[in-house]
Amino acid sequence: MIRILLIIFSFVIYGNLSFPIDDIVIFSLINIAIFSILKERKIQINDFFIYVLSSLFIEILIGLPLFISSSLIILPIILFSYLLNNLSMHFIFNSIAIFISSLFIIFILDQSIIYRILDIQYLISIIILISVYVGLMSRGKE
Amino acid sequence: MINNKKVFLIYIICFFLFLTLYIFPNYSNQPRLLAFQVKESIEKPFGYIGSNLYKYFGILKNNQDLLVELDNLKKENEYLKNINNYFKVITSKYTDQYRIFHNNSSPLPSSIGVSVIGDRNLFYNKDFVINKGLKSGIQISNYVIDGIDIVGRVKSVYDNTSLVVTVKSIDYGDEVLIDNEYYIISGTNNNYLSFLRQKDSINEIKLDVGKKAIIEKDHVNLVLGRVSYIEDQPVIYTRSNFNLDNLRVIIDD
Repeated sequence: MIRILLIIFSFVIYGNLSFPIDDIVIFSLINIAIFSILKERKIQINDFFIYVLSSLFIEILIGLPLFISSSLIILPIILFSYLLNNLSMHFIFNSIAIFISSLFIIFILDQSIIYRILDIQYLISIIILISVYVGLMSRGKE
Repeated sequence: MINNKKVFLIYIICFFLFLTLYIFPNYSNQPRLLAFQVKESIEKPFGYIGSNLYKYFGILKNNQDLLVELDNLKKENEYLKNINNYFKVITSKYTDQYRIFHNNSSPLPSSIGVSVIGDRNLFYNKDFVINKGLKSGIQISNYVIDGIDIVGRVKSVYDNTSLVVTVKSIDYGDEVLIDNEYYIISGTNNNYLSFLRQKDSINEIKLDVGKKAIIEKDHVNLVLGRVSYIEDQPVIYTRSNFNLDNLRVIIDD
C-alpha cells in the first residue's frame, strides 16, 4: 500500500518541480519496480501489480511504448532475480544489486545523468556522504 | 520463474496490450492522454492550495516591501519638510538685499537662528531654554518659530539665554486671527489651546472645524494651529511634535 501511494505521489509530483527532482522521481519509480521483482524468488501478485503500475507510470511520463516494461523488459529482470535469489546472499547485496540495476536503467533512459553524476562536485559529495555513512555504521556506537 | 497463475495471467494481458498498442499506435495515445488528464485533475487541488499560498506569501512580501518603502518615504518627507521650513526661514535673512532691490523694508520679519540648550523633551514642563538672549536682540514676547509654525514665545531674557514658553504650555496666551476675527486663547499643557473669548465681543464662539489660526507679524501669517472641537468646546490643535532643530526667533527691527 505504501508503495502504491508512493507511486501515485511520484506520478502527481512529476513535472511540478525542477528537472533534477523529476529525475529523482523517475529513479524512485524504477527503484520500486525493480525492487518488486527482485526482492523474492517467487513473484507475488501484488508485487507484480505494483511493478506493472510503476512501469506504466514511467512509460506514460517519459513517453515509452506502453506496457513494454511489463511484457519485454521484465524478462531479463526475472532472469536476474532468478540468479540473485538463488545465490542466497546477504540482503544488503540484494539491495545494492537493486540500486545498481535501477541506476543502470535510468542511465540508459537519460545518458546526461551520467555526466551530471560524474561532475566532480557531485562525485565528491557522494563520496563524502558514503564515507560519513560507513563511518557512522562502523564506529557510531562507540 | 513465474510460478503464480495470476501473475502469469496478468503478464499475458500486459503482453497482448503491448502488442495491440504497438501495432496500433493511434490507440496508445488515448490512455496516455487519459492518464495526464487524471494527473491534472489530481494536481488541481494541490495547485490551488499552492498558488494561494504563493499569493499569500507574495502579498506578505509585497506588504513588507511597501512598509519599508513607506517608512523611507516618511523619512524623506520629513527631511524635505525640514528643508522646506529651513528655506522658508532663511528668506527672512535677506532683509538688507530686499531693501537694496526694492527700496523698502522686507515684508518678512527679521529672525535669528537659535538652538535649544538643556531639556528639549518637553516632558515635565513645556518650556525650554535657547542659546540667544539680550545681546542678540531677543526681547520678551518674541515669537519662536519652526518654518511658519509658532513654537512658542520668549518668556524671559538674559544676556545670552532666553526662556521660551511653548504654545502647549498652560502659561501661553495669545491673540489669534481666525476668519478676520480676533480671539484670545490660552495653552492647556496638552496638544491643543483653548479659547478664552472673542476679542471685543461677548458672542458665543462658533468656528468651522479646520480653520487656520494665524498670528499676523509684519505682514507674515504665522500659523498656530487649526480649529477643532473637544466636547463641543472649540480648541486649536497645534503640531503634536515640534522640530527643535531649526528654530528661529523673530526679532523686532
